Amino acid sequence: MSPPPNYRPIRAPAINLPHNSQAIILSPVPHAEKVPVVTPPYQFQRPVKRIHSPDDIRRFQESASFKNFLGFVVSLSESIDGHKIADPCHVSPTVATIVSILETLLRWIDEIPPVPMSSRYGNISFRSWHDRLAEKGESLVHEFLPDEFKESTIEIVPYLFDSFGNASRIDYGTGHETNFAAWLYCLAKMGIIKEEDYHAVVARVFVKYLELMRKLQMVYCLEPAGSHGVWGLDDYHFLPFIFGSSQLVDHKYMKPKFIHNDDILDNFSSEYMYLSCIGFVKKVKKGLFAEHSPLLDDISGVSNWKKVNSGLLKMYKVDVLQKVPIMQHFLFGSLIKWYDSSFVLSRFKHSNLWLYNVVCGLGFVSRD
Amino acid sequence: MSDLDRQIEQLKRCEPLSESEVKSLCLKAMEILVEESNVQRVDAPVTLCGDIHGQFYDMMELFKVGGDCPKTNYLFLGDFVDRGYYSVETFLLLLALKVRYPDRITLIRGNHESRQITQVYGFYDECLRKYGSVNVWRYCTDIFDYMSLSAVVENKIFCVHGGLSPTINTLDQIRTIDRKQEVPHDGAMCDLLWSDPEDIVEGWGLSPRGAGFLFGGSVVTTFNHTNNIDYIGRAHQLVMEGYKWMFDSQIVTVWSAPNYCYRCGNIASILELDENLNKEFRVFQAAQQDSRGPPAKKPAPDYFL
Amino acid sequence: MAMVDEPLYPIALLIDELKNDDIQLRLNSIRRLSTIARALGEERTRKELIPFLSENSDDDDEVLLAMAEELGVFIPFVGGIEHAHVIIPPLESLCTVEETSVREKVVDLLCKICSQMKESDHVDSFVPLVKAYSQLCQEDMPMVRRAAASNLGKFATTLEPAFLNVEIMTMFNGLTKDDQDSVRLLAAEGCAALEKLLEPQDCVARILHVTVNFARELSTDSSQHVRSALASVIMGMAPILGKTLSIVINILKSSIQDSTIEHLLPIFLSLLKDEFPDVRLNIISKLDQVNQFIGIDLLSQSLLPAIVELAEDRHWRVMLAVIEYVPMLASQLGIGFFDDKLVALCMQWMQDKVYSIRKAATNNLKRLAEEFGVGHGQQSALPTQDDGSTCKCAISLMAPVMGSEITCSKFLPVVVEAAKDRVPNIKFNVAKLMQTLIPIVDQSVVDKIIRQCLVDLSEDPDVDVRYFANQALRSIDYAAVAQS
Repeated sequence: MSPPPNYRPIRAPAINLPHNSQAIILSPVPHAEKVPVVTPPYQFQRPVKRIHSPDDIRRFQESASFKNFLGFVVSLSESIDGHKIADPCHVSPTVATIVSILETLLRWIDEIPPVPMSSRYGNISFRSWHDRLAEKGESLVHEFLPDEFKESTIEIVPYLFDSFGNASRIDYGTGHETNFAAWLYCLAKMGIIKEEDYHAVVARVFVKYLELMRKLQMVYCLEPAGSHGVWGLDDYHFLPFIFGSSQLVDHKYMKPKFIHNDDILDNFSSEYMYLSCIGFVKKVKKGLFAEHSPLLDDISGVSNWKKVNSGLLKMYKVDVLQKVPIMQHFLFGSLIKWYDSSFVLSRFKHSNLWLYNVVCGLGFVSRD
Repeated sequence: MSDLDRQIEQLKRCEPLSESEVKSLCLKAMEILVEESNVQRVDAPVTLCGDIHGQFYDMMELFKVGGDCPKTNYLFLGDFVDRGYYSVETFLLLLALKVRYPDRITLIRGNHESRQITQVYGFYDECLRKYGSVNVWRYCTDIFDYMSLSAVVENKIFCVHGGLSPTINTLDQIRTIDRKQEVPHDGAMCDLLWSDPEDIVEGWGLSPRGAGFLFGGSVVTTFNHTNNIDYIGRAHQLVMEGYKWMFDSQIVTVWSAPNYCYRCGNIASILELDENLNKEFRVFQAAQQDSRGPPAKKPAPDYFL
Repeated sequence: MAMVDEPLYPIALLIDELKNDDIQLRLNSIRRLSTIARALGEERTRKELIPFLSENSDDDDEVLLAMAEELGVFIPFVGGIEHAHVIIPPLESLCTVEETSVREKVVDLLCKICSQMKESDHVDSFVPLVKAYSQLCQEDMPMVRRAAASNLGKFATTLEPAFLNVEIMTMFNGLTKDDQDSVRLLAAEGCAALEKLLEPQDCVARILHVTVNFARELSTDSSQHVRSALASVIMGMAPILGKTLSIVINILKSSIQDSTIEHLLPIFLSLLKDEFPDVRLNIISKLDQVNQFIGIDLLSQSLLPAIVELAEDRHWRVMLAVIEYVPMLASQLGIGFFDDKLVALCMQWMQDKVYSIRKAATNNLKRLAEEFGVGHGQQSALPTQDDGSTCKCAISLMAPVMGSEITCSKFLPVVVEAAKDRVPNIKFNVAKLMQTLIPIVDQSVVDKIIRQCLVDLSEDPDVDVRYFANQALRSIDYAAVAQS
């Protein structure tokens, strides 16, 4: 019998967190940030997991990577402010290619039907679908990668591979969705996606991703990975609620409470992501909405969509990006850096300003 | 005695106890649980139940199908809390039944009976919402530390929440573990609560969960043979049909939370063992809408104020 | 200039006020609509105010609701009932509002207007109203069609019977074929309301026939919710059908009666076999109403086999409903029938896997025994020694009914034997059971047999056995004290 593999522990002993509701209310709403484009020489590398404990989460939280990634998500949200899904937007050839890649992945589902017997919960055909992605993913990405970035696949493709669920457990959760956002962020860092593309990234790329994910969830019966049950927003997704609430900001008559109106859901789901998400939840879950989705039900009592949007952004930061069970799978490389040098420097500067100035003056490090 | 009976009736109506009642219940439970072995001996007849995850009304359905305790003896395989709406009432009812009828019900620890996990997956939030403070959460998580790690029915059926550990070959090795602590991030105690059997693995494999291991058929065969047991009963993994045999009937997964996450699709089951260890699976579905209590209306979450 | 502006003033002011940000001010203006109408006079109200209101259905729900309410009393202001139809356009545009309460109010008002028309005998004025309602039944927005479907029954009552046949039935026909199952569902529920309008006329048979047609179509509807609603509705129709039939028999040939039953029975049967347990459950739980008009012979021939099939349903709740129906069946069909057909079933239920079924089955037995006395039929259905814990449950329920003699001769030996089982659960259940038997049997039996048994149990190694044995012993002592 083979010996067990060396195991890296992932869970630190528990810490009793004090609950501070004032802190939550007064905490600032995450704001948008420009994504700095990397310049050559590039240092593309296979990305690795770095987060193992709440301490690591704290380090990540204070890093520029974290703030910029979150800022990117906020920018995406702002880009679709007040727009319907079908509203015209600038679609670059790159974006169009990414959409067609997702359509290819969709087609694969039809080509790889679920096997009639269900083993546990998830259908094992999902593993076949995933194998095909592992096999062809890199060549798909090459369809839109400019020549100068051909070497980047070693770093960006792992993010893409982890965006559609776990093949071994046949499940999917907000961590995988975050990986997809991270993949888009990498493309932004390389300048392949520019700010003028953000609207299309949400209205075309992300909408297509959502379509793909829903089909994968339904056809292969993906188990909700690490679902918080009734204490989370949704078993699978978070970002479409953020983007969706942004779409409805300042809408003439649509209010958060209208999610309880089935006609509104039927007639407007194709135009507004938030409504299609609610409609999907109502379709796949049994029972009273207030019982199976109390958080979404609570949010329907908020007075306007702007508050919903900013609340969701705050919640995303804490409930997704600061939770070890989700972020333990997050990958770090040269594009999403772990433990930035700037972090080291800022700490250093903070603790000893005189020495910092000397060191900068001597040219050992560049001033930030 | 009568106080406890009254508390049990109250919990059966899905009404939580007061904070001071919870404290004294936990103290009484501690005295009983501390005496139990890491491999608790259980007599047949007994009914095995898998994950409950705070689905109180579905647990009531379970009792309707399997019979009330103490009429029926029960062995619950852990994961009483998190994800569901009523983790507090679910766990306290089971604990109260344990205190009232210690020989009629056995509770072993699941991976969700942990401080860190319950802070992420809902039990902590639920305690805060229902009591306004973290004390009940503290009392309950302290009790988790005393819960047994596994059980053996008539020396023939080994019962554990997750699965096996590469560092454990015999039941005696389990008995030597010091279990009165938070679930560690690795090691035997962690593995017992986190591991999964897996068809396509030979021997041991890395678990995608990030804790515990995957183990294959040969591991189970060896373990069962070494310890002279007929098969292993465990939970921990969602199963469409409520229960699932693996490795030529050497290990069975029992899952007792129907309509998990309110999604249609999975039924739940319990495993009834009679006094001669004859097996009968009883499957059941989620409780009807009219027998579920109305959910309490909550104010908008703090993020949105 | 004042004199020239005065006629224009009310509307101009209203227009201004309705543009105000403050909802309270807008509400106040809307609530003054009657005053404005009075100031304008009937003709100007019809020609200017009403059209203005039709175009301004874009406001907060509260304001629109107030507008609908105002319009409801507008008939005198537009010049009486013969002009009532001008109110319809603004009400129609209000029907497209998202908020359900507004739409419901509008349909409500249409009904109100109709009934006012009926009272003042202006039959001609019905026509545009019926036309308007018919429009609502075909509106794009499903929410409007839903409001129309749920109120169609009510609307129909306000109309002259002449409209029932063609117009109302056409609307109904359309609604039962709607895309949205919510609309079909409401139409199904409206069936019962319609039936109440039946009068003993020639049209009765025709409506009955048409309704049965609806019922047949709906029973094969793709949506289980529609079928479930239909199930409830058909049961609701039963008493009315019963009434109607007796009238019909007097007027028409009996062939009509047969064909109706002929048509309804298959519908019942198909719903009884529906794939969705909720639909089956709905029919079963209301079967007692069917008996009244279907007749007991027909019932036992056609429905009973289906019911017996359901007694072995996969879904234990359906089984439970059947079990609960059995005593009623027995009381109607007589105990002889029960002995023949249902005893075997009862025995099966008492050994069912699901605890709640066993419990309900034993309860049943008790009810039957109470009603029919201790017949030899039940005695054969009584559990024997082999049946384990079900046996004990049955005994505790049956003993009071059966009386002391049977309890001592048949039950007690079984119980005493069970006290020697090795499983603690059985032993403490025996102790609990003995406690219930104490008041039934003679004191001598208590002293000779029961007490000894309990004393043995009170020394059992298991803590729960000791607890319940001691509890039972204490109850003997209390009884003794009470008697002395």
